[in-house]
Parts: sequence; structure tokens; C-alpha cells
Amino acid sequence: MSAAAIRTEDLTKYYGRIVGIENLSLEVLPGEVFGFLGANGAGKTTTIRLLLDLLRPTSGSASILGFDCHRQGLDVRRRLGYLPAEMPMYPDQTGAGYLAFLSALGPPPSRARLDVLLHRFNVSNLDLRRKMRDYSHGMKRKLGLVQALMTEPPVLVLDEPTSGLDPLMIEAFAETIDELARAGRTTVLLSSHVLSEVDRVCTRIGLVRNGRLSAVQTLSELRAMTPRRLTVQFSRPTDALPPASSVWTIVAREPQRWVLDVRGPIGALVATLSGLPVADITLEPYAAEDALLRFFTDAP
Amino acid sequence: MMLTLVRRTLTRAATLFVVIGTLLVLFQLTIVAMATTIADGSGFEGLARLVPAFLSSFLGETLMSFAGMTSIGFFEPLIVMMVVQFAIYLGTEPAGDVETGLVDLVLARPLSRHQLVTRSLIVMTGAATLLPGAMSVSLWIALRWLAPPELVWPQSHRVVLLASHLAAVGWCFGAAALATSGWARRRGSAFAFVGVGAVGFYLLDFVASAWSRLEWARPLSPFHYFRGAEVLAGRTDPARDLSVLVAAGFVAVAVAYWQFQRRDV
Repeated sequence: MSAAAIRTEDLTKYYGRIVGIENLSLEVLPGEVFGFLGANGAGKTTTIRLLLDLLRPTSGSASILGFDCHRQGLDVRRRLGYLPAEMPMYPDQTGAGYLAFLSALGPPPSRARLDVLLHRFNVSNLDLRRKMRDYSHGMKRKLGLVQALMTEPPVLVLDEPTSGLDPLMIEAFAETIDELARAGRTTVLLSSHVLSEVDRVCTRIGLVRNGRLSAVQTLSELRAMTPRRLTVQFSRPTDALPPASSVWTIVAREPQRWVLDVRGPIGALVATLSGLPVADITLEPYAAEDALLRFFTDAP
Repeated sequence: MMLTLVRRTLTRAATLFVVIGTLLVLFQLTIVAMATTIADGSGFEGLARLVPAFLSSFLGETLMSFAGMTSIGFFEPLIVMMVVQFAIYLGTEPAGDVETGLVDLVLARPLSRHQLVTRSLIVMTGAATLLPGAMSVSLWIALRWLAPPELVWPQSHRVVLLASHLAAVGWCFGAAALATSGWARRRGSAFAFVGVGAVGFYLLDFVASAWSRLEWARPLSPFHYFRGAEVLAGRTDPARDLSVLVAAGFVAVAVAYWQFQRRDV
């Protein structure tokens, strides 16, 4: 029996000659909020659809809470809340009818939980009485979040959950995930291609590229590998050179200005500046988005 | 769960079902009124004299008697095709679920894939049965309401046979649509494939019935097992014909379950 809440072992899916994912091995621990990051087409949705048994793997296996996703699919899906990337709907149905329909197909949600979620995501009774064909993209997304969260499942799989949400709703979503993380009873797999989306809520992230899991890191580890631009301005010209170090690389050296890319702690660098006519030091914030962008676009 | 799924499908298909059902019922009422008018006037003997010989041989006794004319709705090509195409439409629902992504939401619940096929099978079977059923009931009401008692009405067991054949041929094509949905990712593709195929099979049967060189191909068409004029005249083996249609449908249903279970959705 696996200790991981979600586990894939050498999971592979080919669409003919096209690689969906290849030998993807991943473990998400119970109670963890795990971000699954990758560019469009990297294999995130394929992985999720394999977990839900919507796709059949070419090879490898996947399990959730110890249940094999294919052979014990019903046991898995009894314990799962899912938000697809594209929010499918029945246009002729009202929002209330939609939630009632989905409630009737699985474990029933409690009225209190439903009310909390509807209130949190600002879905009014009037909204629920409208046909879904009249819903905006954001409203469909909010209803999608409600249906995924309403049964308080032990495992949540959310594909691009904040796509189309306004900042207030993104915050409401983050609060909800924070609550679940604090309670520690729910494992969340959150797929996204936007770092800021996972930065707020996730404890670890998996980076997927070209169908392969390239790295699994905590956000602090990701930040540690992300360079920050440090600029030292001198009050008068100096001949001094920045000492060589594995922590920084020199981008530009001018008589009155050094520009360095720093990875890691800057204490040693600050120490070398003592005695020099330093006028100002500027340290740019972590640009993890840039690092990810490079990661996504670099050739494998 | 199954009741919820069936109710949802019924809600979506209700308008179309009511429209088609109303058309068929109105046709039955109209054809009885028309046949009554003809019987009151020059009579069917006069009509028979006006019909060319080759058409008489093709139509059989259909237009030559009150009973024949009032039964024509069950095998009139456009009506048969309407029932068949509606069954095909309902049979392609699983492909529609895949196309719209609704299958993601539904199958994210603890539901087996075969339940989606069963849902569409229930609704398709219901529609294929209810439409000919409604036609039979409306025919009986129209006869009671409009036809003078001295006219010879269609025999009730012949009407039941005609309705059964219509239901069976509709069900057979609906089952083929269900099987095609096992592969299709788009409902339109599945509908076009089976819908056009149905028209093709109808034409094949029509041409093969008149051209001896194609006679061998006639049994391939489901419409070969539903020759309304001959059912009316009692010149067919209804048990054999119905068995073939139902058996072919069962094979298609089995294929649908097998393929939908193994495919990527």
C-alpha cells in the first residue's frame, strides 16, 4: 500500500506517434497542495485525465489513495473532486439544475457546505436560476469550482482552476485551498501554466515539459535556483573587480556600476563591498516567472 | 444514477421528440381523413384504375384499399427515415458527451462508462418504440373518429406488425449509431456516418429490388427486412425479419459497450 495520496509510476501515454506523457513518476503526499506546472501541451491535462481513467495508459500505472485508477476507478472517483480545464455544461440547464444533476451522480454534498461555497464564490440564487447558456466564462468557472469542492472529497484535482476568474475570486479560491491545507485532510493536485497561481497556495511543484516530469521542488528551492539581478552603484569610479564566485555571475562591470546575477545568499558579496564607495545597492525580486519561462521554452 | 442520466437525456431530446411525434400523429389523422374522403367519392377502384401498372406492382395493395392507404404511414419512406434518423440522433449521444467534454464531468463521478451507453440505449429504444406506438394509437383514434363503420379497417395485428417493423428498423440503426459513437469523437461525424449510411441502405434496397444484378446485395440492407406493402399483404415472414433486425441491433449494442469501455474519452 502506497503512503502517497496520488502516485504515478512510469506513466506513459502516446497518441499514435505523439507523446502525451512519458515515464512520468510522481508522488503527492496526503494533505499536500501540489502544483503541476508546465506550458500548454506539456502533458498536464493528459496526466490528470489518466488519473481519472478518462484516458487509458500506454504503459505504467496510477493510483489515488491506494486505489488503481483504472482497475478501481469507481473507488477512486468516489473520493475525488475534479475541475476540468474547459468547463463543460448543458446550455439548457440552470445553475441549480446543474449542481443537482452532478450531486445525484455521486456522494451528496451537505447543504451547509454548498451554501458556504456559493456565498464564497459569490453565486447568488438569481445566478442559479439562470440558464447556463447565459453564463459568462467566469461564472461557469465559479460553478465548476463549487461542484468540485462541494462534496469535501479527500482528493481534489483542479485543472487551471483560476482561468477566467477575477482577482476577488482568485483570492476566494486561494483562501479555500489554504483552509483545506490547514485542515490537512485534503490532497490537492493543481495544474497550471501560471506560477503566480501555484505560488500562493502550493507547497511543492512538479515541472513537466514535453511529457516528462523534469523536476519536483518546493517553491523555496525554485527560488534558490532563480537568479536575481543585483546592481551596485558607486559614488565614484573604482578599479575593484567583483570576486569570482559560484553564487553570482557578472553581467556588466563599469567603473561606477556592477551588474550581477545572484543565485543564493548575498552575504558574501556584501562583505566584499566594504571599503568601496558604494552609493546604492538594488536587488530585484525573484523572477521565478522568468525562470519558468526559460524552462518552458528551452530545448529539452 | 441511471434515472438521473435518463431524465437529463429526455429533457434534452423532449422538444424534438414532441415535434416528430406530433407530425406523425397529424399524418395519421390526415391520411385517415383523406382515405375516408376517397372512399366516399369515386372509391378506391377508381383510384386503382388511375395508377400505372408498374406503380401498382411496386405499391402492392397500399393505395388500392382503405385499409392499405390508412396503413401507409408505417412504411412511407420519409416517415421511416424520420424515425430512423431520430433513433440515430439519440444513439450518437455518447459521442456528443465526448465532444462537449461533459463526459469528463460525468465520469469524474463514481459512474461506470457502460452506464452512459445504457442511458442512450434506454432512451433510443424508448423513442424507437414510442413513435410507432403513438402512430398506432392515433391511427386507431382516427379510424374511430373519422372512418365510417362500413369500411374495412386495417387488421389490428397487421398494424401491430407494421409498427413493430418500423420500431425494429429504427432500433437497428439507433444501435448502429451507438456502436459508431464508441469510436467517434464528434457527434456530427457519427450522425453523418450512420445517417447517410441509412439513406444508402434504403437506396440499395430500392435499386436491388428492381435490378436483378444487385439482388444479391439486398439482404445486406436492414430495409430489406421491412417491406411494408408485403407485411400488409401477409406475404412476409415477420418473425424472421424482426429477428434479423433485432439481432443485428444486439450485435451493434454489444460492439458499443465493448468499444466505449476500452476507448479514450
